[in-house]
Amino acid sequence: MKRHIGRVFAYVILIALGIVGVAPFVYLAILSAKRRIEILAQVPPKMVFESATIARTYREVLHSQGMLEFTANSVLVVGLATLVALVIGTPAAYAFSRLPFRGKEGLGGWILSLRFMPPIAVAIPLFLMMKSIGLGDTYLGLILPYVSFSLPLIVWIMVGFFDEVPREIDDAALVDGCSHFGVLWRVMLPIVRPGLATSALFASIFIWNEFLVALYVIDSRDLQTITLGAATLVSAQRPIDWNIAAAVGVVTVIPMLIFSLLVQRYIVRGLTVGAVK
Amino acid sequence: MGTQALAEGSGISAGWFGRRGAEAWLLLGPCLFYLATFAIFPLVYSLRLSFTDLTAAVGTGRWVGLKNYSDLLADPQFWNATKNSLIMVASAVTIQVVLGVALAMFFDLQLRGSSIVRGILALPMLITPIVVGVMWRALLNPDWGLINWAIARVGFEPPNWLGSVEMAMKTLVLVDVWQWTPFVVIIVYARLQALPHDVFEAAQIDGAGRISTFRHITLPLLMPAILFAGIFRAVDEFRSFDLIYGLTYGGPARTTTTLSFFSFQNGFQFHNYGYAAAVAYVMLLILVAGTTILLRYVQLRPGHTQ
Amino acid sequence: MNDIDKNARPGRTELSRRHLIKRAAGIGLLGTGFDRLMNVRWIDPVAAAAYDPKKYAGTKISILMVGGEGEDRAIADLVPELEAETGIKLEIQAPALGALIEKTFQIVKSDHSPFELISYLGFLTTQLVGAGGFEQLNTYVDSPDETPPDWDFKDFIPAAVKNVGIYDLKTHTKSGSAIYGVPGLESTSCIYFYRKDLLDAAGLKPAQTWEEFNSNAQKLHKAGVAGCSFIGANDPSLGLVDWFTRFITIGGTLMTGDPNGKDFRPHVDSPEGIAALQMLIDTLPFAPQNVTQYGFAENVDGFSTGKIAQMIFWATIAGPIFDKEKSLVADKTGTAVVPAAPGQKHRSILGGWGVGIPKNADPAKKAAAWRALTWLTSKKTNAYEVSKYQVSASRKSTFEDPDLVKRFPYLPASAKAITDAEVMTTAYIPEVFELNAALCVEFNKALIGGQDAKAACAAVQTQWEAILRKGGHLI
Repeated sequence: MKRHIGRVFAYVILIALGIVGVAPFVYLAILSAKRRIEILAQVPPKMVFESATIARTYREVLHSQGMLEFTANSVLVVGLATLVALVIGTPAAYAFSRLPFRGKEGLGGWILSLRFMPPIAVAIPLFLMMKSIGLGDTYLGLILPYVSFSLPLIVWIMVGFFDEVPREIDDAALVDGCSHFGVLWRVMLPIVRPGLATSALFASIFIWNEFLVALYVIDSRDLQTITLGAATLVSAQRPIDWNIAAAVGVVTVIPMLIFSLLVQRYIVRGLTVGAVK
Repeated sequence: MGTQALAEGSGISAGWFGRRGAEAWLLLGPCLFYLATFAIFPLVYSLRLSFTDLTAAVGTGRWVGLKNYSDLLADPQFWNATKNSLIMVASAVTIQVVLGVALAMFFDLQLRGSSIVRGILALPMLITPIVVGVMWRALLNPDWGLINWAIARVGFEPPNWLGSVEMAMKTLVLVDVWQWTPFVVIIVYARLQALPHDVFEAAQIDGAGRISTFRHITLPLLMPAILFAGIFRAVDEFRSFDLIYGLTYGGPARTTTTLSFFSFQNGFQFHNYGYAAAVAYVMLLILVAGTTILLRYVQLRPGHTQ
Repeated sequence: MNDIDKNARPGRTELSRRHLIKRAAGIGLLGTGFDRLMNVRWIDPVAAAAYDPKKYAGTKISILMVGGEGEDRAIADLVPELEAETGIKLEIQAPALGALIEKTFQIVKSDHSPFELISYLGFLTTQLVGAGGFEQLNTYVDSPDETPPDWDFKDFIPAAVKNVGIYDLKTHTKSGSAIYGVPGLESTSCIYFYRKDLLDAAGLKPAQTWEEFNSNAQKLHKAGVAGCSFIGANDPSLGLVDWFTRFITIGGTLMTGDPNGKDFRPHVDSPEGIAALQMLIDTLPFAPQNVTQYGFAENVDGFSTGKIAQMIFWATIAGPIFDKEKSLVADKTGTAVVPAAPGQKHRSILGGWGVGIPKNADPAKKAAAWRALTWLTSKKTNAYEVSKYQVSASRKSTFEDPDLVKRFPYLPASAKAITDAEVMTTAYIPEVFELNAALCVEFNKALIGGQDAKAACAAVQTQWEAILRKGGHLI
């Protein structure tokens, strides 16, 4: 009986959590479907929606405001940057985990400390760097700095996952004549897939929302990322078009939502290395 | 035995990296080179900038030595910002870690539908800061926001979320907890899944209770992940100003002006670039000092230090 | 401005005009204003023939301007027309205000600007134009080859021209005859918004003095409708609009001395300064309950849902307020110039934008950029902006257009407000944002009860003096 109550209570909490997490988004979606004057006057919002209003708002957001274009840009930039960062960072994390060398702790600390600078101090110099090599106002001009933002996080997360894998597995392969690279590629990677997924997810989250570097580097409208495009929503000295802002919110969340749901499976499905024993 | 010797052998033999030296460079090299390229210039640039009085009007700024730093230390707004930063980081990260671990344990119960809820909870992390700001300004709107309406319906007086000196910081911490606790949850939960089962089985056989297991077995095993998540959150919390920018703009009466916002405001809004760079460097020093002290007492990778 | 341009190519036009004037002199017609008549471009038939709209066809021009305020949409709508008429392809980049300012500063300091046209705030004229960032435009304005004959520089509201366009690089003042920018795409000041229906029902008249404003507020205040509202939150317009307007219309002078000298002194703690803040504090009981959380957006929202009876505000919001789609009080609102103490001119702060050609833009494209600029600031474009998006115009003719006035009854009040508006003198120094930020923080603190008006003004005065000293404007 006690277990039953405990179980029911647990489910109540689970549902409550779901509601707390999702409610603001549902609210956002509702706001995006109303006219601005309705948002201001109807408290709480009535659950009556006009498809014409919704169509108008979303068409405005996707086309006139160009959110569709900006989303595509963000996906491109973030996708490539994450990929490159994984390619460069994973071997480094492996080296950290497995290979002994002097100054390892210090180096690790240094890598982590690269996240310490506040964005405002970093954005302008990075922009100047990109401009000086002719990459101002290009996708690459964004991707290159974004890789450097993602690397520390990816390295640190992957080190954690590599550490979990017992050395015996490495050594078995090494004894068989594999090089470190071979061990990494053939043996390790499949095991640490959840790590790759986790670090990819987090790295992309952080650069998806990056604003300052994108602001300075990008000049043309066609190359703008989502954060830049969304920034016009809340201009300092003008009224906020709540319905448009809400619609932009909905649109900008969807790509990351899809990515996150896809990736969650990899994270969870992770083989528990202990269970392998 | 043989493998042990192999591992140790590679540490003793020639050179920095031992026998597999070249390979190590290939593995580590690109990453280090990349980071060095992108880290050095901003650090040097900002340092130089902090020694000038560059504002938007003056071309490259005149050299003023340590004047910016001495101005900083004498500026009451700087100390106010430092105080606010410490309060915000300490309270937000503590809540996030505690709540995050609790939730990770909760999800470990593997109730049906957990994975869906976990996916939902990851949503707040994914939204653009501007949208988070708009969303919460809508929710907390004193005139037509849903939250105040709900509170009033239940019969209470809705607090002045963003406009009162007492509530503003608390509201910020609340929104931040909503947004970033999932980060801790995911990291700790992933670690939890990777823990070896045999330890727990042994504990159960020995008759250890739930709480005891948690305190003596689970928690120590999770510590690396918890610390990692905690440190990461603390560093990011310290640097971030997006929420402040969107919700309170440093106010009211500068109660939510943190160091990161102070630096941002001086750079972006007032165009005192030299001063903003000095604030940024002080922030860097604080973080370096903080993490050095922390790492001295705490091992992030138990059993793996060389 | 009307001098014969010595730098123009001696084309047919120049010779013909000089020729005619010589002839006129010969006939003794000089002194009757005939020569002046011939210098007025817009009816000069000879000049009209020289202007070739398609001279720069095929050029691509990029403009950096503010986004999200309507102007960018208006221009975007008209881009195809621009291309059809002149062959110029216009590309618009319109970030939000803060982002725009940042980017503009970066571009002006660099050695090459990716944009041939940049729109800048009147507040920043001193820092952008004054830093030598923009091209002098007199040669273009005076040239009949480059400027359409019906463009009419004199049609721009003089106060706006002075605010954004005129600068003397030697004395660093907004004087002289050198033109660096053209008012566009918006010029604005603050006006008084009131609910006609509520005032009529209570037998009250729209306020002309602050006493009337406050007593109206008291009488009209009841459940559901606040007697008045203002910016109470820590928002820039608290300082710029609500405090500054009251301050100057009760006789206050914000700064004395020379912005370029060492005696630029603030007077925030003057009796008028304290009184202006006190006025706001005293009307708190007749303002919405949450007014200290009200920034720009909340006040507009409140007024358009009928919850506010009076307020002074940027005329830019008149558009949404009078739009039936966006406001419940579109046909119940009246507008007038802001109240003032007896004997004081009714005026508020002057805001607005200018458009100029960055000096470091591609030299080969500058003439084409000017062509696009004239088109963007033409009478037609101005009228379109107002008509479709209710952007506040910059030309007298637009404000006086009978059709527009019929649709937008706030236009006359708005025009008068701009004409009489006063520049906030702190805009002449780079520290303007820092100064205003300090002001808004302290005044907001006073409004939420953290300090009284006298202490707030004293705090602001102290902080301002420190900032001014640090910037070298005050000993």
